[in-house]
Amino acid sequence: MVLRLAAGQRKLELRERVKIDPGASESLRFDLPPLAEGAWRGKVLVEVEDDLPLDNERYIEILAARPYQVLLVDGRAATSPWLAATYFLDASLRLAPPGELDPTVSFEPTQVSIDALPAKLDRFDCVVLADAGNVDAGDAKRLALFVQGGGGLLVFGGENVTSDRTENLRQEELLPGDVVGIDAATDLPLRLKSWDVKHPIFAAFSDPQLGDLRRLAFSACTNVVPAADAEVLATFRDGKPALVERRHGKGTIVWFTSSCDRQWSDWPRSRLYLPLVYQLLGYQTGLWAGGRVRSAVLEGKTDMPGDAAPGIVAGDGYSLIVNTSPRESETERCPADEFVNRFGLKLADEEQAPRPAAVAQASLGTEMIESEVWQWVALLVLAVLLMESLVANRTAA
Amino acid sequence: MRHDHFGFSILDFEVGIDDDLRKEFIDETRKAGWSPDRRPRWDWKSTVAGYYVAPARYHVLLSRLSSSLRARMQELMLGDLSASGDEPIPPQYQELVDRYYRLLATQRGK
Repeated sequence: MVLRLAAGQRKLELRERVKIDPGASESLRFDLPPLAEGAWRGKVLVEVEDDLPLDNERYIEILAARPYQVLLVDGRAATSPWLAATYFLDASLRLAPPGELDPTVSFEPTQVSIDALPAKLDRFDCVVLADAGNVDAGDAKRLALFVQGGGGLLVFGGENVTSDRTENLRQEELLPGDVVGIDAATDLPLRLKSWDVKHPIFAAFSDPQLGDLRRLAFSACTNVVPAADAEVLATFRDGKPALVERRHGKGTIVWFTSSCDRQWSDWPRSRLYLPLVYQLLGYQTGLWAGGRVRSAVLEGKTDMPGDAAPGIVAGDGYSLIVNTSPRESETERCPADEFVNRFGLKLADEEQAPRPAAVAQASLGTEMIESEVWQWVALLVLAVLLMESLVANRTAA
Repeated sequence: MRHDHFGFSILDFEVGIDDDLRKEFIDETRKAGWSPDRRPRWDWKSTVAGYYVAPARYHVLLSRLSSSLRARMQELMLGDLSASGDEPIPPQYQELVDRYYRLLATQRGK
């Protein structure tokens, strides 16, 4: 077995031997050296010659990259880092003291204040606005371009998120609708009542036994009247929107109408805080859609183009690794249409619609091949037996 | 609850019931013949087979009032319990949440 990888001019080839008995499977391990940053693309292939070379190789891509880059924009001028609107977000993503980063995390946060937005946002996968009102008009324009280009924008509410302070965001269509004001819970806290259980953000919370979002309590929220093209993903008990999504160009804007710190809630102390934050960011960075490297197999009916072939296809912000189905290793006989589905092949026109009778016979395994002569031999033997019974009749006339 | 006492009770529920719902209910009961200044306070006009019949809207509002009160009672009794910090979480986040809490604890100590 050979593993060949290349990233630009850099190449890597590793070989391993394995002996497999017929019908058995075996795992093989390639010990990779530390890889330089970049997308390492290549194949794993079996070095044998046979009549079907198509299934002797598999395409792979290994991405040696930094975690998803998340820009945390703090809308509050806090004197202490503990009072910053992004303090708990940063801690939950970094999982290490400020300035350090846990090596296993999926997201790498960068904290900035609202008046220090970086000039270039394209190195970030997602921008998070936390209690950020008064976004400068130029910054709002750059944020809009970032989202239009496919970036994710996640917005949390707060005291600063009011109608007049979000005017620049509204002009760039970065609001989920109309920001009416702030709704404070007078007696009972605001609790989530319902959410779209089919949405990827809530996929991890499909079983209330493993995380019931109704336990989270909030003392206030930004009152939003969703736009016609916005989708309300979750509501509070009184029906007010809690999570709203709106598409903008290639990207999406997700608004969580309450705060992400302890201003309006104690939820940063809840065990559900980190899971929900990760679910929101996983959605906005594309992690839940498959991440930067996605795989597909040519099998049966796929949503890939009809001319899709094994290989590495560049998608919008990701690579799609297309391989033939592992089911090719099944050696049992099968009808032609099943074989076609198994490999995602296209038959030539004359073979595209197999005759129903032939398919039925094939599925029973009773079809004959041209070289079969056994039926003529059987007929000859029968004739000889009949002749023998006539010739060998010795009874007297 | 006797209807005669109802007027005092509904006015006493100033805290705990959504204000709009409370006002809507009081308006509806007034339309149905209730007044805090009258003796007797109820002067229902609608009768069927000799029995007083409350308007249909009255039932709907009473049901909403009841739900609101139930939610408040649940919140008061179970609110603290549900915020006790032992919430179940999706298993894939168990390790990360533990590390998050450890980090907050060390930060608090500084």
